Amino acid sequence: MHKSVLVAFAAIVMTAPGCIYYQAPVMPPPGLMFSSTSAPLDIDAEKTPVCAKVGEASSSAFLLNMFAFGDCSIDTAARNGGLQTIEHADYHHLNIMFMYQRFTVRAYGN
Amino acid sequence: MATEERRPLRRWRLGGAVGSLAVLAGCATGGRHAPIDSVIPPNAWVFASFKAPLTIDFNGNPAGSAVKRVEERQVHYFRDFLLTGLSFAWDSATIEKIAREGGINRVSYADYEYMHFLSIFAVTTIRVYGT
Repeated sequence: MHKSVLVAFAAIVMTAPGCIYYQAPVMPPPGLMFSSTSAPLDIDAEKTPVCAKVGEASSSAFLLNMFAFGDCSIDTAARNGGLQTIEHADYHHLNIMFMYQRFTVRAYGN
Repeated sequence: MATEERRPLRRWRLGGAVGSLAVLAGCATGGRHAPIDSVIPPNAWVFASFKAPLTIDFNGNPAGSAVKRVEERQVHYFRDFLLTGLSFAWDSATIEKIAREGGINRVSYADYEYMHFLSIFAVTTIRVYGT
């Protein structure tokens, strides 16, 4: 039984990045076992001021992406940070062996 | 004796089948097949319900309490996987229509909400914010 579980797990982990990963405009190379990366969400940075205020919102997936729920919308991020204007946004992605994934949107503004 | 020799092979086949099914399910319902093209948080193949950004170009647009939220519109999807295998989708949710009907003159940004259960039933909701 151990071998069959191992085979199933290996098959999922080897092919998972193409199937159960996230999608964003900029995606750094993902780590299968562990990944904690940040990248731009808004890639139009022309004349964008650097802002001190930031708001975050997260969505998570569990157990080899059997279940996923959360709220990583821009509106929730802006309200969590008390923003009146949004200048740009980044995201952070955390993956621990596909048992737990968290996608956090960070909105910057004033 | 013959039965015992077959057992490991059966286990490997079982493992392979389970893995393949899980991966196929993930591919069929995972991030690549979510209805949105720009930002998709980690999706799920059994049940998913999440909200995420639809627009990602902000340029100092009003946000938070400075904008009003317009009533969302939903698109529904249903697949009859038991009898016919056919799928059905209906309703429309365009930013133009939502903003116009909600009295928004300038759209600041839009979010979406996606909910599905085993890809049998899915609802995509668009929310528009603006002034």
